[in-house]
Amino acid sequence: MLQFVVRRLLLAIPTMVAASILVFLMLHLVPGDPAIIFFGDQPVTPERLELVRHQMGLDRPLVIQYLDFVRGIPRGDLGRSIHNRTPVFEELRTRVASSATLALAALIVAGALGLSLGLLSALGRGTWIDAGAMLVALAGVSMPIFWLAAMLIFVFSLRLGWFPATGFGGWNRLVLPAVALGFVSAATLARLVRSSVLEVLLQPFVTTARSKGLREAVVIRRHVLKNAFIAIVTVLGLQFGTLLSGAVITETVFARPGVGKLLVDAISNKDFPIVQGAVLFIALIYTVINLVVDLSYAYLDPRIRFD
Amino acid sequence: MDRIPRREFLKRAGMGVGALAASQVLPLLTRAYAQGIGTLTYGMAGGFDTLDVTATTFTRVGRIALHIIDPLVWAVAPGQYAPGLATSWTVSPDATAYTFNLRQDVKFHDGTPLTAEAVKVTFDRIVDPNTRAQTAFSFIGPYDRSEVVDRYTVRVRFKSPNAAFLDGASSPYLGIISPAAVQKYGQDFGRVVFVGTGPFMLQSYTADAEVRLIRNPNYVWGAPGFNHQGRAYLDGIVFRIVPEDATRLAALETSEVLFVEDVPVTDYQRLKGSQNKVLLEIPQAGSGWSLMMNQMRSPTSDLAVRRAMMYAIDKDGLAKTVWNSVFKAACSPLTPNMFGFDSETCRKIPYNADQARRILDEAGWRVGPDGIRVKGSERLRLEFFLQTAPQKNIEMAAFIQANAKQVGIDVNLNVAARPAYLDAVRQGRHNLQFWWETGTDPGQILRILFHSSNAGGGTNRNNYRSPEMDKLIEQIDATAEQASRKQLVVRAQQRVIDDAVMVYLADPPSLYAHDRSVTGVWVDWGGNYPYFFNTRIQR
Repeated sequence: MLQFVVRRLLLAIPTMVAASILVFLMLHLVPGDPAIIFFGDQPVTPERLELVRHQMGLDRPLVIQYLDFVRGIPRGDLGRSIHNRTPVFEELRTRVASSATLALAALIVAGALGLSLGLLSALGRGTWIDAGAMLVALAGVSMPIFWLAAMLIFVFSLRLGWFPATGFGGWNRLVLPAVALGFVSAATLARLVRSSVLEVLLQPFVTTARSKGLREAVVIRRHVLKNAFIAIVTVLGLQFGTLLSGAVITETVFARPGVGKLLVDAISNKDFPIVQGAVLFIALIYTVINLVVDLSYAYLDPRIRFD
Repeated sequence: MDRIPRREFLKRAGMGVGALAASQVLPLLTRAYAQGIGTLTYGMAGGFDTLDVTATTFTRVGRIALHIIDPLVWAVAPGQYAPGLATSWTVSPDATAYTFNLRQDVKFHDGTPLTAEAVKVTFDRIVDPNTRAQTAFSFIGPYDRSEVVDRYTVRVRFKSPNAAFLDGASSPYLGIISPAAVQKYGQDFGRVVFVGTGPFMLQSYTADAEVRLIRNPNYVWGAPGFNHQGRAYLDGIVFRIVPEDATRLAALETSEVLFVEDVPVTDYQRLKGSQNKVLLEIPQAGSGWSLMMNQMRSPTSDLAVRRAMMYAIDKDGLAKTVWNSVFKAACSPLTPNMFGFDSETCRKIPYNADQARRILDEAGWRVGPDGIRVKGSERLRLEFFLQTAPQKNIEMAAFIQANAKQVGIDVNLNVAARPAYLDAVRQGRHNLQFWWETGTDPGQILRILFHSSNAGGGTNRNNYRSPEMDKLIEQIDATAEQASRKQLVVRAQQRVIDDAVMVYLADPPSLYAHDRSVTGVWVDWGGNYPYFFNTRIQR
């Protein structure tokens, strides 16, 4: 087990190196000079432009620029933003805290809503409950998140006054963004839960369990759900990664700082160190999540063992 | 992706309820989370690069910083200044030396006293290449050095005349900062700490989220122009960053924030008629929205084409269609409230499509089979480069495109993300591009737009090179005497209209809105800096 974890973590290193090289090259291939972007529409002499280019380290060979970045990583030094010279780690830290809180809250919403909707519709297959639950799921999948976010603000903030419209600060500011973000994931999840549960319900061991005389609730909890969870956990894990780094729209509408927005801004400013740091972080998150998901398989299905 | 055209989406989708959300007045109910009395929450329309006002390019940072620092002088009207940290000042006749006498009772937030040395350190830091100053760098102009005459007297010297320096010194960008703190915090100054002498002190800064200021309890040096000199009335100010227009307005409706900047023109009428909100509308000083026409690239190298463009654009129609008539049609590179604005310019180039057609005919541009003009083998096609945000850019560009087509000019829109856009226009691959500029000194604005030293990749993307114009701008910078300075500014405006350098489109107001409980908000005449030193919240 431990060996498995260590091996997986070691294997993550080439993945992250590959991701960072790819991002580094892509950023340098896209046109746009960071020094020119830095000055934007401000007046500047060619000498000053050259000086800033030098300060940004852009006049050095690409390989050296990349190696400098890599060299700092073991020391936990991701470099500094070439635009405002804040340490990349600092820039990431505040955003990660905010994004992770939101992602976790959204995952809870998605999990609770997705599971109950999916289960309800699977168990009541073919009835109006099934149709209703799947209609909600369909709405969730097809609803643009900025529209949902705006509606939530309209109803719960402007009309009812239950929650603030901006989402940074106390827990009550987390509710609306978490619901907006979680609802879309819940919809995807509900459909998956429904099909997984239906599949498991047809398995012979479910018939066995029922014929043993187990109560239906126990059959569902112990035999059906636990087996259906393998597919569900995989998707939930991936969803968490998406929720963490891909919540730009939700974060913008609800005025929350976040990793996604930091990344988008850094790309349009061509702020290489920030982009590299953020991508490295996101790659790390995905690696860890995948590992946790894989480990959970062993718990959910005793047939799976890691040794 | 940083701006979501929700309103556009709602309109197109025809979702009545959604549109209602964005535009209806809603009764103000008692909110459980409404803020405590004494702290003003300010809804800011976006984040910024750094809190260091010396290094930033953002007006928003100036808005925050004005509360943390004190300027040397205050601008009370175009060309008129009142004491700030400086009680009096003298300007040498050639405008190359300014001597300031400083107040002697002022202390920085870290307890160190304000002295002439602090002014010197502040200004030297602006020109230090390591600071990478931007807006402040423009404001300080041809700075040479500061001389400490005595403990409370400082003389600022310039390499060439700088009649605009008092204007710069009144801006937050040249606000005096604590040398001790700069020394102590080094690279972290402006990121986690910022120490000035102002009525408020920096408490915390969370990037992309909020900036918290608390009252400076020792403040007794309020400028004589304000109605009190002691501490500010507010306990503190929280600048909350709310980039999405609809969310910011919703937060104002629910009193989650009490003051907002950048009110969208679509909310203008509603807020103007509101019972419990107040709309502040101050004409923004500087140069409004305009079109730069690249003279280094055909066909805008042809004077006739540029003149035709000036006549072809229906500016009143544009102000009405795109800006709901909240913006006004522009006449000159300077907004009407600027020192030296020439009202004659408004009569010079009226909207006249026939005139545009005549000019093009005379210049040999003949209408081709598809309605677009040709001359020899060249089609009259203009490459227009613009950025994806703000959305209004695209609306204005579409309007211009339609107007130009009426007279046989084909305008091709190249909408690009910021890096690609800057690449194209700095290299001069454009015929047309937008410009907008805010500032309170006419010389500075004219230099940015028209001086040949800013051509060839700089801010003068007209690539307009005129020795006479350069000379006029330099004379404006060298003339402190007001009547002659005004004459020169007027001549410069007429000159650029005769040379058909740019098309002046629309002059924007600065739009702020606040809760009716907020009183005593002061905004500078240029419209950019709301100041809350006199502000109270009354319940």
